[in-house]
Amino acid sequence: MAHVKVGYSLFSKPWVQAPSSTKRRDGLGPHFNAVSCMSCHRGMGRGAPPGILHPNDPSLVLKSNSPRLKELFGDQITPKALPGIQPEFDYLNDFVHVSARIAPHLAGLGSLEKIPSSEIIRNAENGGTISFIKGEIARFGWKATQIDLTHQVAAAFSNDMGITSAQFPHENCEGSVGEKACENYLDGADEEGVEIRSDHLQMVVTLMKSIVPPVPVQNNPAGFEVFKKINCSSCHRVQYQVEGEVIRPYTDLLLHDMGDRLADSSPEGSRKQDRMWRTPPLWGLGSQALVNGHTRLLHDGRAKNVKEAILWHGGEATPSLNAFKKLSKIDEKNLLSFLKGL
Amino acid sequence: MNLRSLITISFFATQGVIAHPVPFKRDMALEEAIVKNYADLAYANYTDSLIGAKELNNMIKAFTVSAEKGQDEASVKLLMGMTKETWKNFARLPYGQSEIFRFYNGPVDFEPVNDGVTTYLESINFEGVEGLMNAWPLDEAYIDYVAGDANAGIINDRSIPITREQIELMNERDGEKNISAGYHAIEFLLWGQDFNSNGPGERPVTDYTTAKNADRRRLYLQTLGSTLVSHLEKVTEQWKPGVENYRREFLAKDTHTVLGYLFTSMISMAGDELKSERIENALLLEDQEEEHSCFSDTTVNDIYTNYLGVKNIYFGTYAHYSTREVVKGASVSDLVASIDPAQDKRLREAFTKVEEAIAPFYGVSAQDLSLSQNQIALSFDVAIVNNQDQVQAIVDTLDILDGELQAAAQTLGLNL
Repeated sequence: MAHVKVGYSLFSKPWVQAPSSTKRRDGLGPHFNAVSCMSCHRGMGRGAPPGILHPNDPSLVLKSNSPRLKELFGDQITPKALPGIQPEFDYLNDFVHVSARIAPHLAGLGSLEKIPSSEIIRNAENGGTISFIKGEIARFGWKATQIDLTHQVAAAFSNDMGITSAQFPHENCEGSVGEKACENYLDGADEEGVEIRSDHLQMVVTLMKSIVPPVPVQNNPAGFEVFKKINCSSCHRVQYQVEGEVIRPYTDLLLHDMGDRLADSSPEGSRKQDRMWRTPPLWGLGSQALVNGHTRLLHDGRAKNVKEAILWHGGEATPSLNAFKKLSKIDEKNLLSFLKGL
Repeated sequence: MNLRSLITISFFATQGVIAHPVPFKRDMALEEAIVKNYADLAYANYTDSLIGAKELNNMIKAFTVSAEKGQDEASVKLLMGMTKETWKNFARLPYGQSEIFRFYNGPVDFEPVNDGVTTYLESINFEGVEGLMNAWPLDEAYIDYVAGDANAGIINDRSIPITREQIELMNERDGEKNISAGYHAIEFLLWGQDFNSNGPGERPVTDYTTAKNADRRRLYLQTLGSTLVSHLEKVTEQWKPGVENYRREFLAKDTHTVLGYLFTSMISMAGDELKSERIENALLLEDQEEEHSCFSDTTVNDIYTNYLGVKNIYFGTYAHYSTREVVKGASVSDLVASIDPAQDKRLREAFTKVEEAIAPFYGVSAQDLSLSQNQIALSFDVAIVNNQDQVQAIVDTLDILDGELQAAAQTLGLNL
């Protein structure tokens, strides 16, 4: 429990510019989106695009989606920088091929990590693509690019706050724009030569694992029947046995081609990788409005509510989408009420 | 309920207390007297803090003006020392006790809640100022030079105007926190970074006389002093008797709701905040400067005064630091004792145990602990390295206090 609380402190308190007296908490930037994890994951919940809750909400990040952008900025284009460094957003006007990502909610991640790989492989028999990173199955992130929570948390520290770790030991200075000034900036490296020590990073991971899966807020058995009937459950797999316990995350943790409308924009039009998204878990839909004060959904927060999110489905989900559109009023009402209760 | 407390509560829900019917007749007159006395304590504590902040502001003016006018260095240094003493005693000792008035969306940490009900503070667009007064960790390099970067900070960037508006704006730039105002910013500007393993920071007096950007450093410190006064005035005003303010609405609330606030704040302070966030984390993160008043090495005072805040509420008393005047009235202790004397006794013992654990840091026995008399004998940053058992003893006794407070809340049938 004490480790969880340290993890919470590192998660919620702002990181500061180095060098600082509080050396466990320095090393922010030089480029960053936010100064703390909490800035985007408010209430451990889902972020919203700017303007929904706060005019400058940092919880939407922009990823480079063309070779030229990557060359200029690296993987992520950040809005903020320490004094003396030009924020990358200042250069953005002429470029368009970016991909927006909203901060996902964090509840239940520990349970998702425990799902055996064999289950994910079995899921792929019904369709969908397993994401392999360096030969290992990756199950976390909007594009299933992170293998485990340690990797996911370290990536977020690096990409979003400019905090180096054993997993990501270099400051986010890649990209030719402002690279020199960025690399010359003082960092907050400690005895391990990185800004967050491995055992401290593990405390944040322990915190993530301690956030219990969301509990449904209401039941709608008729809606659940519709959910299965129109085959939502084929990708949003309902349940797993994990260490003797049943969990109901509603995901197969696989990548699916979701069609052109959901695809990231890239110079070549929509490529397969731009259309591929990992099935997001549906648990937590019921408490989102209470915890986060909004009902925005999908990877960039474009959907105002559950119904809009369904209507954005395409690609492999087209048959289910068509079935949804043909539902009777009462079936639709039950389905939406079921989903809003998860 | 604000978002932060929602998270804390849902998240550390293992500590939740469930409402249940109580097997005794509620003493409404006593409950009302406790609520009224609590409001009096809050007003007394904030008034005392405000007096201290005004003293500090006056000393800052005296010190910086003498530095500006080129008075001899010995005099300026003397005034700088007196300013530090004022910060340590008059300003911080009352304020540390007042931190107990956080945790339930009262004035100091108020955030509007979008729940369809317009409260008094919402109706006047009140904004909580806790983040501007006492946030941590401080973003030092955002304010002034630090070891390794002689040109860092707002002070050394002559293109940024130094005004109250600018500092408030930059403290939470873009809705994000870059802590650059409040007590710890003043502390940083008076003491400087602490590179001594055995003493506080030693900022040279020349920073305010002949050093580069001394004029801007003086102005920054002056602005922080006057800003702190006006923030405390804002909060104190909300607890003042006899006017249209938060206090009036507070006194009209259901007494069980208010008792819930009192226990939520006592439990949050003793447990999550003081025990975990401020002490245990420092042990686990293994860092000397993982302490709230790291520049002046007065974190022991923070711990003691935060603890006193809990004790003040339980026993319904507040002793003014500036005048030594004592406010005393109906207390939570009276209420607990009237229903379950053994529970009250256990709580009294728990308070004593915490004091026994804190006393060695002042080099005295628990009976001789006194805010106005004692000096810190063992600083927190030294203890973190050399006396971990003594630090752990505070953690352990606070844990017991936390548990007993939760048990008492349950005894009273409170829904926290």
